[in-house]
Amino acid sequence: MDLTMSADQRDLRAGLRDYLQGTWTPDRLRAAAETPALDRGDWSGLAGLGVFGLTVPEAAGGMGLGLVDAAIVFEELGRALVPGPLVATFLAAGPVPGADDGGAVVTSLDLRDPVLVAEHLDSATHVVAVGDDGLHLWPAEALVAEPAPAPLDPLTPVSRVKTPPVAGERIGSAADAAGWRLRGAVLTSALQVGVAQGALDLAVRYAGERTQFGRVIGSFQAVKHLLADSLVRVDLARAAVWAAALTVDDPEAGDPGEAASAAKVLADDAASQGGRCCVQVHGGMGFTWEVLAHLYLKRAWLQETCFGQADEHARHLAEAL
Amino acid sequence: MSRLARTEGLTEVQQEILATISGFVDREVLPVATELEHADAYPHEIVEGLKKLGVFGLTIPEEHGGLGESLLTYALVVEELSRGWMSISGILNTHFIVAYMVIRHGTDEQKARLLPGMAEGRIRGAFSMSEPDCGSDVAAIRTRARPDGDHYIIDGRKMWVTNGGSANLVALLCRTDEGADAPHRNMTTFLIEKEPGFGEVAPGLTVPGKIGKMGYKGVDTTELLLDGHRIPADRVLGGVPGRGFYQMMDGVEVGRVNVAARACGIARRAFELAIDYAQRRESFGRPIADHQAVRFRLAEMATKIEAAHQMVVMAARRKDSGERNDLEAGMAKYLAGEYCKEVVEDAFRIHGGYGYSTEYEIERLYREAPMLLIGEGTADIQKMIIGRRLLEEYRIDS
Ligand SMILES: Cc1cc2nc3c(=O)[nH]c(=O)nc-3n(C[C@H](O)[C@H](O)[C@H](O)COP(=O)(O)OP(=O)(O)OC[C@H]3O[C@@H](n4cnc5c(N)ncnc54)[C@H](O)[C@@H]3O)c2cc1C
Repeated sequence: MDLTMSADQRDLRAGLRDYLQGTWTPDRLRAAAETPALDRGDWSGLAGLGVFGLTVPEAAGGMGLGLVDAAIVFEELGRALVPGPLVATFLAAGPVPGADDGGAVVTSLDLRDPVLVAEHLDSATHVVAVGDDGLHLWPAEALVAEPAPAPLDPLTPVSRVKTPPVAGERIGSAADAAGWRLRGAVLTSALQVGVAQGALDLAVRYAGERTQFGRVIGSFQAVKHLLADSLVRVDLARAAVWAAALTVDDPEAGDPGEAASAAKVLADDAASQGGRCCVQVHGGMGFTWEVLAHLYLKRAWLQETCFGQADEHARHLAEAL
Repeated sequence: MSRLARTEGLTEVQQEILATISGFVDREVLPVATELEHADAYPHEIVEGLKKLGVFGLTIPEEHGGLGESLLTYALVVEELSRGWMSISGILNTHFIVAYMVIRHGTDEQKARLLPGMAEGRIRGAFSMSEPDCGSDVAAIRTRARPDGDHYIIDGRKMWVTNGGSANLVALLCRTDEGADAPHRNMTTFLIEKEPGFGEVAPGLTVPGKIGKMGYKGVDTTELLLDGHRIPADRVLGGVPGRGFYQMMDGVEVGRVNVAARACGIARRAFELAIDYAQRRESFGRPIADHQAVRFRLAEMATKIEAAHQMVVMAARRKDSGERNDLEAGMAKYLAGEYCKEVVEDAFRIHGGYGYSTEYEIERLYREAPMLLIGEGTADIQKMIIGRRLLEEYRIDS
């Protein structure tokens, strides 16, 4: 299994990183925290870069790339804290018209969850419900839902869907639903790796600037170790995500389900610990609304609960042993 | 009385006080806390209620109009109040630190002038050491007071003043030139009296506005700008300059017990919500509390709560006995803060998906917990204190 980036992949990452740096500036993120409705212009911008159609075959108008390429892209999206139902829209590209070109905003919910929750329902055009028997599609306005008065991540409005939707348009089989969950777990893990990396970058920058006791705080062993532990967690998680993406594309290479579970366990840990480290390194500033540390931490917390919590994935791994 | 976090050997008076506070929390705090927190609204009614109960004077000696209770009683009251809403314990914390500093270090005149009003909650204390450029390294502060006849003139900028707007008494640490070689001995605490509110609240003293926080809203955290603020020399805490650093550090020890106790209170509340929910919510045909993963998680949470509570009780009793307690206070704050964060996270995971919790309250607890690892000295600073003390205690002869 080759876990080094090709020149094309490096270009893909660099291009996207440039675009995201220009678009999702700190001020823009702060503003989005106040008015979290999605901007369709941004959405089309992402689609224009091929974000949603990345793995759609070229013959069908996509880029025909693999899930590893998608993992690279989703890590960047996570690192930039881009809001929106990115994973669901990506997965819907193909079965849901418009998902790949920015014409549709697709959010999803998993019928297995004890509480049915969907993100960005107000901005969404479609909802995909993932059931054990298959995938079902609704126009977003068909659902009765109650928005959370205070979503944990201020950039991600969430709603509780009250009536489990009964009949929708069936757009996929049970196997498609399983594939949706699998790819969703891998891509959410990629977002988590990005969150972890973004939080680490922010913390490292601050540790190099802030002085206490006459030295930059990054020179204290305690701070260095916090950051070093974060780095180790990000690197491990990234390798696991890539391995999972490669395995999903090539099931000969291993067990895709196990690889995805391992990725989610490691990536959730990297993201939530990374967010916490970022708050901690910032001291009192880490607790303010102004410094973005809290947004990384909250996004990490949110994504921990999407596409399977770490302990469900750990249980899955244990059962496989 | 809950099964968890009981305290052995309390007097009848202590038990009565705690029962009263616990009832107050259930009736007056829990039903409104989350809404007020989201609106970042100051809890005026709750504060009035606490005044009536005499809570502001809990540890102030009876001769000055207070209840004369111990640090332990205070810690247990803080735990109970934080079970309702952490910001309430923040409103009290700085007041208690300042009261403690006046009791321990104030002149007779300062005690007589300030303590009765503080006991009633008419005078409300804030304390201010931190600055934009220094939090952990208190000895590096720049705010400076220079003598001017029988007055001092203070210039500088303070940061992170909890209750900076609502208090009318601020214990403020300044650099003064006492000619000592160590920076610690060139510092003085002033007792500044001001109007509550924002803007220029005393000549040369401005409170610009509230700092936006990720949680712990409702209580105001502010900057304080001092530009030629003139203050009579008799407002030096204890009357003698040059002792400010030690007075502040003594006060912070009380603050540490407060923060440790609040961690216990928040963790208890998170646990209560989680164990309730785990019995109501079903998955795979049974309450989720029947699944081992959830049940073990509850077991871990409860064990942590019990351990942290007993640690706080121990640290408070040590200080009450007159012994030095910096080691225990540091350990209690560090352990309770870490455990609280873990318990709250576990409660959140039990509660549900996508950051949508059916318990609106748990989302608030989640945002509050990280503060406990920063305020009153970060977790690292606690470990520095613990480590330094350990090496004093276990020094080898070389
Ligand atoms: C909501 C809130 C309310 C507050 N209320 C008050 C108040 O009422 N009065 C008041 O005076 N202050 C108050 N504070 C300030 C608080 O005490 C400081 O934030 C805290 O001491 C940390 O200081 P800092 O923010 O400057 O972080 P820094 O000191 O800059 O620390 C940044 C990071 O470096 C680490 N670090 C620093 N030095 C060392 C070292 N030597 N070794 C290892 N690691 C180190 C820290 O652990 C932290 O992780 C409040 C803070 C907050 C967030």
